[in-house]
Amino acid sequence: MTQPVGWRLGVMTSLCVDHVQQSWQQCIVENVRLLDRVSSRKAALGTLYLTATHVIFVENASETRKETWVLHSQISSIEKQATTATGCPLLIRCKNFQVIHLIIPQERDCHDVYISLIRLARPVKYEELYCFSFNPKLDKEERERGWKLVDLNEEYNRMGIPNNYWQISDVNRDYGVCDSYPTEVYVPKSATAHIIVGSSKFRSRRRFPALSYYCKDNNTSICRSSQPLSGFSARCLEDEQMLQAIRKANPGSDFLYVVDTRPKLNAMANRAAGKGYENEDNYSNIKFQFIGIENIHVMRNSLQKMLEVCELKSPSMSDFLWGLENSGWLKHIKAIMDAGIFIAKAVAEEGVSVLVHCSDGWDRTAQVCSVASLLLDPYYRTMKGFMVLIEKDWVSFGHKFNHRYGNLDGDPKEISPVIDQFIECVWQLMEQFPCAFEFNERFLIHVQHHIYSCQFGNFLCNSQKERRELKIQERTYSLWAHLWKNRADYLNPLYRSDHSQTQATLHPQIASCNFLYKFWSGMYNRFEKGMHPRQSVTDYLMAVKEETQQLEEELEVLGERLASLQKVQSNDNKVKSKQQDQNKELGRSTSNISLANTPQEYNSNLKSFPSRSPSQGDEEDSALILTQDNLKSSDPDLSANSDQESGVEDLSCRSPSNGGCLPSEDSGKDSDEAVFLAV
Amino acid sequence: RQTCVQTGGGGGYRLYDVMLQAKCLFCTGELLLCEANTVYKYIQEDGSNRGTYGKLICTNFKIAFLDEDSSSDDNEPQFKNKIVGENDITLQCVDQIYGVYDEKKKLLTGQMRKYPEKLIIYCKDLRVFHFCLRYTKEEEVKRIVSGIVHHSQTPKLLKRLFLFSYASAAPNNTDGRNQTVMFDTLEDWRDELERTKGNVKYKAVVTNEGYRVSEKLPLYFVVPICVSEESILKFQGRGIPIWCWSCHNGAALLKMSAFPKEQDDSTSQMQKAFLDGIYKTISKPPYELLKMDDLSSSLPSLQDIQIAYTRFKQLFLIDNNADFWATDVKWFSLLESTNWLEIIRRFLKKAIEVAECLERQHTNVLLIEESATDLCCVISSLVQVMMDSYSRTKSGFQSLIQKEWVTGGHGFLDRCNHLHKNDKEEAPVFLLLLNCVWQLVQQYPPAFEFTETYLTVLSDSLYVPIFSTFFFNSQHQKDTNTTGESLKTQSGPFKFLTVWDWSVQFEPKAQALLSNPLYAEKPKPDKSQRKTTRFKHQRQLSLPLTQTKSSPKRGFFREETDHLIKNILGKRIGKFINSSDEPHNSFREFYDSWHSKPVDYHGLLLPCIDGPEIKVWAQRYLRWIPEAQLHGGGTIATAAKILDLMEEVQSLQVKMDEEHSQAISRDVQAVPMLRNCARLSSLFPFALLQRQSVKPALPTSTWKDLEDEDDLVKRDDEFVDLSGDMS
Repeated sequence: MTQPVGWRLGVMTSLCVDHVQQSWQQCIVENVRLLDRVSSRKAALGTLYLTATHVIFVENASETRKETWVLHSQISSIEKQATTATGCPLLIRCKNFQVIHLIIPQERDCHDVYISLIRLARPVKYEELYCFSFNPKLDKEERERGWKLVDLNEEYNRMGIPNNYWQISDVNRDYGVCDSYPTEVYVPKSATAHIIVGSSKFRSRRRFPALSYYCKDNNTSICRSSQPLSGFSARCLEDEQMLQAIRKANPGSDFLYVVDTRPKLNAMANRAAGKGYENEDNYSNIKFQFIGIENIHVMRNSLQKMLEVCELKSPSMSDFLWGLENSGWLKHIKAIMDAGIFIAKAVAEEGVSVLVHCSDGWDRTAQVCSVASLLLDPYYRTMKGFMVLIEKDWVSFGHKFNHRYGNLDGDPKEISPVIDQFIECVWQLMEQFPCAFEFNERFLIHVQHHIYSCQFGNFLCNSQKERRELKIQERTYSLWAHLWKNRADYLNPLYRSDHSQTQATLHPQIASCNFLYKFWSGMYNRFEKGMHPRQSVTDYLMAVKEETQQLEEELEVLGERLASLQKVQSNDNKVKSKQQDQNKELGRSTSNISLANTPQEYNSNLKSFPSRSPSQGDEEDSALILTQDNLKSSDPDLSANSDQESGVEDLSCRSPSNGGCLPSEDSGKDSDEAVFLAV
Repeated sequence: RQTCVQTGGGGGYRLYDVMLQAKCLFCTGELLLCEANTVYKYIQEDGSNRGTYGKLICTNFKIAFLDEDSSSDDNEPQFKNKIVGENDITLQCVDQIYGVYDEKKKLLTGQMRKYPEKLIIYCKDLRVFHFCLRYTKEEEVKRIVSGIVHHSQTPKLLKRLFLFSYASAAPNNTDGRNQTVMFDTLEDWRDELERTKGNVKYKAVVTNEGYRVSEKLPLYFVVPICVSEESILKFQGRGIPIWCWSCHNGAALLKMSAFPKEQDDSTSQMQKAFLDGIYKTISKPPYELLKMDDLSSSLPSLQDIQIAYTRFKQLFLIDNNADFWATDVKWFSLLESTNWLEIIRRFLKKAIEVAECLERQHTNVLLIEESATDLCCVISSLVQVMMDSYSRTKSGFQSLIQKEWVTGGHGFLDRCNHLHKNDKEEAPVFLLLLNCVWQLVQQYPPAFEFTETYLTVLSDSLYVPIFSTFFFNSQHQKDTNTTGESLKTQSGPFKFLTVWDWSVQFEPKAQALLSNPLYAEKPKPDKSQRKTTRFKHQRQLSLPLTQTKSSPKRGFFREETDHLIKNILGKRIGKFINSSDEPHNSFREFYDSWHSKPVDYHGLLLPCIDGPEIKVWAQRYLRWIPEAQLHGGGTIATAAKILDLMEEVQSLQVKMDEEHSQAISRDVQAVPMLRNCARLSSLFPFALLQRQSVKPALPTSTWKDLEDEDDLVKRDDEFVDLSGDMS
């Protein structure tokens, strides 16, 4: 069983092996032990390789040679612990929530590894990142096509824009107005360049109100911006006109919601710094609403607290439940969801347009706008749509990927799991509406992984401007193309595009209650003790679906054959002498069908079923096929499989020392006596 | 009391009225006791006062609200209980009744001076009903409130249970024979011994015929062969190891009811000597090493369980949505403070420990408890569900419950407090088992033939008094009450229904929801057997046996007990010692090594018991809370989708089979194999795979002709391969 620790990494292996070989041999440490953090089993002995891009641990055990690959960009912290008799422990925590605990025999080696990793995990130049050396062996055209997979202009067209009320504005063409915005921005038709520029001067970091989502059914829109520089009394005519233009672009409604996603206290504190929030008296026909989502620092600490709970070894119910509640993580997730639900309701049910902002309008605003879009539009719940959504609300509107996810060495105070929270919101929705999403949990986990991995260029830098300057599209590859190529792995078998639910707005509870929010062990604990596959039902369904498809094909083939046979038959009708043969033929064709349904066929078909872990299905055990990944009928180690016979055998060969495992009989030497005593 | 019963007597005619009016189906033997008109039932207590008017009645079976506008027939729910309707509360299902006086809630238990304007009924299946009596005549309010409180909350005679009225009024009950083994005959026990290969060392005994030994023990049970009849009789079956189940390796799970604490020195000496004798006999070869586990000291007590559950269910018995949001804010800490999930975790953990002894250490495990009918039942059932894949089928699980609980003598009547005899006896022990099993079901859905819905309806059936299953304390009590004095009115003994006949409660369509479509059926135990024997040995070697070496620090207590055990019983008897570290290690190692491998759904199944994995059984506990509802969402969406998919595949198969048979009927006489197809497909999704490859032998010459067809050419390889196999 050669199974990399993280199977995602396993996928990567094949992709990046070429590159790695070039820069191999940077550092090799032998006789390193990898501890299984949770399990009490023996540590695996192996060799540690440090390359320019990865930390690789290869187990010595000859049959397995299990490999553990970790990208430097995934490393979030390295901790060298006090040397013990066995060696020097090194703890590597990763951004994808993997924790690697190594013991290096020599203190000196450990120190070297530690120092190199600190350097390697904190690159200072973009060029050092993996995506610039990663080469999946695609030609130039394929790469370009990959980048064109997600096209935002196409997306705005899909929403029905430009139209009578909305247009594309070139006011920001050279990033002249706002350097963290994209060049192409959609604004109300009535908003002139003068209004836009004026409004941008009254907004934090000049992030003026721009369109995020448009609902063509009722002309409502979700717009986004940063906070106004209102201080205690400042006003800006252009900004007021801008909001009015947005409201008027929705003729069906006589007011506009302005949603400030911050807690009121935070917003008020900003006023002292000359920022703040809209005064309802100054803007005509707005309804102002606070939604208390905490800032990035609170979120960072909350995640830290939750991860501490995750790291507990065998937590009791009490540890877990208290820890989870104290971390506040799920409460924050709920706050984001509640904001999204509020906006989705305003748009879908009230028909009122919404302007969303927080402080700079690139964290909470991105979260909330994308959650609302996801609830409103089934398109974003498809795989392609989800890519578009991230590209639209996060990448193009200048979410600071580099700062938030620490791609380059920077201020640790800037790091915060903002998009992680959005991804978790999607997962929570998927749990609540298992049939509404085209993609599955694995897809989300892969997206999360690659946001940190820097293997693809999509999430580099802090803005579109920076990405263009770096010529990202010419020098790196797009994640979306990679995921799209493997989309079969990411399909939710429960999804059907023609189903009524998948066509409509999702309606979670208006105020969703806490017990609908679950701890996502698939994300935060996914590297634990090979936590048995939580997706087993879904994988199962994939197989069933496969089977359905096969049957359909079978039916088609059968139909065709029947038709052709009938043709043959009518031709031969008069030739009585051939009748006999004909009968046989048909008889044979019948048997073909039964042949097609024999285990062997299913087996071979399922082999091609995209499964991550190596198949262990026993060829002969036909009934187990559907569960090939999870089953281990042929696995020698599972004791429960053993039959009566083996039990008898064990009985007869039991040695006294065997009895010595009993906790109370641990002094093995007495047990012989004991047996005799008892006899 | 008299008046009510009299009303009931005269109610026969009125009952008919009511039935006509509300299209309400009454059970046979059901009598109307009292009723009240123009009662207003709130749809949900959300302050909006929405609701419907209707008639509130109380019969000897249930409390029911009969809706005035009977137009609700249109939206007939898909999943409906035939016995207990949406607005029915069986008398045994009533948990607590509150009256509201001037906005103040007061618990109603017996006599009352003033009658409330509102009645709140909390049910054991966690429904909450709010009835407003403001518009009802005072006379009727008095009668209905005192009637309901009297019939559902005050002590009752066993014979007053609806069970008996029902059984006597419906004499020709179908006996609902299904595959469930009832364990009321010697044969059943012998079969079970044979099934588990326990018959070498254990025997089924008839000593208790006529309940000579004890009224608490079943008529037939199984003991080690070496245990004599005299010793069984000596202390009414106490101190005798009773067999529960044998593991594939011969190690057995036993239970024993302990002696009560005896004041008298000589008696306790005698008992001790007796126990020593028993231990000596059963710890000699051929018997395995013996480990004892006194559950009363190693697990939470019945009282702890009751307290935790009472607190826990309170989280879900919600009056109005303000209450709901108040609790929601602190959901996790409230959940923690009930301790219910921790209790579930403790029981699962104990069951894993026992499984480890049986499986890995080949040790017999003897569970000890005073009565051996409460905690013993939970642990022994859990161990069997985890270790014996038969117990994870529907009939296997039902047989298990018959064996360990119903025949095994769990005091359902007392533990559920059905008769309101003694509140102190109440403890949700059986519910605890279902909660533990649910954890396993949700962790390993493909391993179980039944669904969580099955467990939920099973838990509801605890309170439906038309089945005898959960309404007796012991087999003896059931037997004496079945035949007893009732003969004066009856022509023969009562014939009770068993809950396992699910057709009594559910239409076939609804029953489909009780079966897990994803259940991975057990493959035929053929070829692989040899292999496992061989590998088994390897496994032994691969597990380091020295892992459980004692830690250097040993507590005084430990040493002393060890010494004691050594002296008295010899070294072959061990005991679970509750000092945390050591058993924990071997347990942990067993647990980890199991979890590090892929799951075999037909082998040993160990639950994950780390904090995040123990969850709230949302289906059972949250099902009536509108705030927790997700339209078009939740696990049921998945389940529905799976059923859809299954139907689709099935229909495609049928289509295929049809096309087949058409093709054949046209020219050739039907090949017998095709007739089987329909039958085989019912086993879907594995039907296709299990299809026998019966096929006509083909002369190779016809082959060639067919290869001309395009599609056949593509499939060429397959044919060649398989035909090779066939010949």
